[in-house]
Amino acid sequence: MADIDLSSVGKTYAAMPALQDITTRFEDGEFIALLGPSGCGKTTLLRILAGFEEPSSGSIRIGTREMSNAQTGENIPPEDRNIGFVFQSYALWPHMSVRRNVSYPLEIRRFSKAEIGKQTDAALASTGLEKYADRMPSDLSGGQRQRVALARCLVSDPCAVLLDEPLANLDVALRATMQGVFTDFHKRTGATMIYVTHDQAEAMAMADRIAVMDQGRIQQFDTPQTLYERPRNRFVAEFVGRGTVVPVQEIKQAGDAQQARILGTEVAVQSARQEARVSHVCLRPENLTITESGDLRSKVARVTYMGGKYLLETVTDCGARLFAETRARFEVGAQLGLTITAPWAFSED
Amino acid sequence: MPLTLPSLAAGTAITFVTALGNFGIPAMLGIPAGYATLPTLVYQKLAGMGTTVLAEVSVLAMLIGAVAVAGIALQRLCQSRQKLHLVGSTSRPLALPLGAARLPVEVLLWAVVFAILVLPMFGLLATSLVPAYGVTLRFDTVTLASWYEVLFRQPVTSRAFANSFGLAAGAAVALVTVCLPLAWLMERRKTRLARLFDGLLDLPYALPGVVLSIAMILLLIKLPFTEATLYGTIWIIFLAYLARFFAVMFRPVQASLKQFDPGMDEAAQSVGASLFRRLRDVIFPLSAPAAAAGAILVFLTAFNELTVSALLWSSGTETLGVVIFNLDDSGETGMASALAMTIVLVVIVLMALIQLFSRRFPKGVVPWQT
Repeated sequence: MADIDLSSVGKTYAAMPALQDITTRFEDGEFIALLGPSGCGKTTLLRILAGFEEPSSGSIRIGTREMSNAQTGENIPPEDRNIGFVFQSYALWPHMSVRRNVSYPLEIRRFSKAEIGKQTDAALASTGLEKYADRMPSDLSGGQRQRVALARCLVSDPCAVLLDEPLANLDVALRATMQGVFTDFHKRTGATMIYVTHDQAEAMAMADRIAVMDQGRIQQFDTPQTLYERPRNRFVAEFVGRGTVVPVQEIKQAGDAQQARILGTEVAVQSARQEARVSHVCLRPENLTITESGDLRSKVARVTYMGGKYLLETVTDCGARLFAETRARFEVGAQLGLTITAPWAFSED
Repeated sequence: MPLTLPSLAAGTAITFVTALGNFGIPAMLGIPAGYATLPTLVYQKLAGMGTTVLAEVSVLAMLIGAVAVAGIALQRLCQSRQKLHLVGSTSRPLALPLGAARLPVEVLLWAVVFAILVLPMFGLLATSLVPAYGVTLRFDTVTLASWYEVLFRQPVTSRAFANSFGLAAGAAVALVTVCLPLAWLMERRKTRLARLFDGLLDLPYALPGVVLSIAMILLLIKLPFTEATLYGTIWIIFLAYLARFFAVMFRPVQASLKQFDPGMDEAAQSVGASLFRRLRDVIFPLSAPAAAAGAILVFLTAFNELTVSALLWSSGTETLGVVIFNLDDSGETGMASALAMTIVLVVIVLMALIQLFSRRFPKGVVPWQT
């Protein structure tokens, strides 16, 4: 168990910055998700934490130990960090049985035979793998393989578990089940977990806090709810959830409340207190109501059935594309009116 | 044609280099006819006058080496150009329906195989069974005298068997030990030095054996700081074999490590396994089939080797190839054929044994099965 401190961590590959000035703190026992599009630097950050890569600048502390320091060149190798790593490719050892895969970390630690047997059995039982102990990894399905990898992590009692898109190779139905397995694992062990994914639903479902990354920087690091409701910039607003960012044309301060002109209509907006000058708002389906008398006239461009409700992609008269949800069915090309209520506003240069 | 042209050119270049450096065939067929090639010229000079002509043969070796390197460079150039074309998906194999012509074409192809593989074998067998070269093989002329003489009366034969077996097995074992960790390190740390080494690695195998042998003599005739010499001992042949067959061992191992998911090594690292433990418990077991395949290839090639040992042997360190060559050279064609047939049989038996146990080996151990 340990908290993790990163201070101005950067990584450069052949003069191309992959990570820039990451300073943040992961609390002990937290379930953190690193979320972002491919190439945003999330996997690089994870591999630097594990010790597979060295940072080009900055330093990393896990618990009481300084693991990497680019200034002194000090870098504790992965094998001495006591960190668990779960790979997208599972990375099981194909020549060892399931039991040997799980017991290998204990062999390395020179535990007694009896102790190895006991702990291995416990790890296999807690991941539901008792029946498969004597099989080879090639005989297992993807989900079972990832359970073996998790059990292998479990026995070595790591101070943090790093997971690199562990569910990316599984089908949708299995992902939901495996999310439950990871959540249980986190509850039972209380280990600090850092989970890299490009799937926001996965991150939202499991993580205590999500770090949204883009272009080598953490754009926003908050709870899933805050990320969704109070995005700090255009990237987060558009990447998390379904949202359209539109510019604010005019802003009026009326006491605590802010009144903005958006797409030609006057709307009361919410924003963080420190944002003196908001420039954009994020319009999510929750902020839009369909009414006959709505002052924002728009035309339905596409209808998607979402099970129980429809998602409408509409185009306003001034050309903005907005997403609205409705239980009633509309035809493509239908004219309707939209009313905007309490959208989130932020400043963006 | 435009697509296969680089491959054809590369093939032509490498055929040229191989033919340029070939020693066995021109030595057996060319020397008696007074027809010299560069490698046989080197051999004759060195055999006739010993190490006093070293400077002279070095120049010849350099000449062969330079031409061969040019050929190899051409081959690499062609291959690197070919890589550009290999982006499209592979189509299904080309099938030309021959119709009625199929039977004659098949007969013709089998006839070619028969002519270049089977007929020479029968020739060997026939020659080994007659009392003297030129006697026609009939029921009343058949004799096993040559076989008996070469296998049981000549002490050099058993010595050569022991030498060749020891050299081949030793080279295979030594190369496995060196190549596995080396290939792994080169795969994990792609430094400039590693890339340079990777580029040079095929040279001792691709270069004519004569060039390698002369280089070995010059290198080892007088060990630095001592009066000792390895020339005339079996160790010079052993070291030359290590150099020559390095690529044969290294490439399959390297190919198997390239397919390796680096995650498997990193997973072992993250659970606390040291470099030594990872090599022992994960890397070696997984690349063992490729290493075994390489070792089998090295053994079989080294067992039949002539070019390198022809220049490096001395009394007591004869290899099988050298013994056959000397027997033939001194006119004992019958005995040479009998010994050659024996080696063919030994190799066939070895391959049959490997084939027999192939089901118990992991996939990929037997080099001629994919």
